[in-house]
Amino acid sequence: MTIASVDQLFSSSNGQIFFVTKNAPGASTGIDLISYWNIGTIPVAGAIPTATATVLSSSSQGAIPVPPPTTPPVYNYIRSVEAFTGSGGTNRFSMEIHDRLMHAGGLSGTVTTTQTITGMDIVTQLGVNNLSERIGAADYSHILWLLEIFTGIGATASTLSISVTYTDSSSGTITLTNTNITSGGSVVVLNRLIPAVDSGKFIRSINSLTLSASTTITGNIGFVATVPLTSFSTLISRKRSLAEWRDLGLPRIPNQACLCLFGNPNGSTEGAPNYLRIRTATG
Amino acid sequence: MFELGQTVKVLYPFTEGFPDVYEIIEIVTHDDGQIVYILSNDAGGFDGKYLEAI
Repeated sequence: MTIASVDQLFSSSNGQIFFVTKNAPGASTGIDLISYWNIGTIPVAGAIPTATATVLSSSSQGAIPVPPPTTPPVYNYIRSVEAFTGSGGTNRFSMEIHDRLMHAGGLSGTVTTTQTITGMDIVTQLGVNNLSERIGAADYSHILWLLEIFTGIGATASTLSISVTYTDSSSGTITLTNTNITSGGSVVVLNRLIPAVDSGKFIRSINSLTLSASTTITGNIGFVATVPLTSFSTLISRKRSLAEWRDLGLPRIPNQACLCLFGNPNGSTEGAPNYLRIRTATG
Repeated sequence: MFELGQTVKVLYPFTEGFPDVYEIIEIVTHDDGQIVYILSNDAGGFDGKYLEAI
């Protein structure tokens, strides 16, 4: 039965409780998001991908555990999230839970010739790991495309030129500088950088990266396609924060979803919750 | 390849984002031998292959 009322929510099987503990990825300023993907401790740090895209699933290393798959009309949902934070100003933040669809990486921060990505194309990967359901809207408008710094790059000023293909099969270029994104865990949302001439289009694939200049540190640059499911905030350090289904929107967890965390930076340094307790519901 | 103070234009694939003419205000040589030309007007750094002298 699909959960359509509070009574049904209460009577649904009280699903799994999963603990998540993450360490802070490091200093960051002026970026869109912080990624906790390749940081431990629970779950273990996710693997850093290569330039050939990986379509992720619930069994991928680094994925937050989810309940077993269901058969519609029965679904899994995120019912509540409790966050326990430590002391200090860096423990007041907002976090997001995403379904990490696929990612690619291994691109160098010192190579100035075009670096090609293979297989980072939603359309060609739709049949893998239930991606066709996980993407949400059929026009791909629910997907966030991210540039993620897996390992820190240098600070020498460089412009990143990203070749993309839109869902109407037209090509485009998204550009940004490496200002403020030198630390590992730094994330930039590419959707907001789509140039005005391509306004209203949605990204289908990421094809390559070209740096205008070496940043001096190789690091590891990559890209992620993800669907945000929900978000919550911790407003006061040393205090338990609870977000229930009313706050979370009772998001559905698609089968084979690769749940992961992103943080919304609040300043020059970032913390992480001491631990999260995620409660799910199945019904 | 280029000199300090030289005027250049930016080549593809960066032309659209940097359509103007710029002056080289700094030249940085990295330990690995790569040379980065820093352009005026906060345009940032460029490898010589993406610049053309005016």
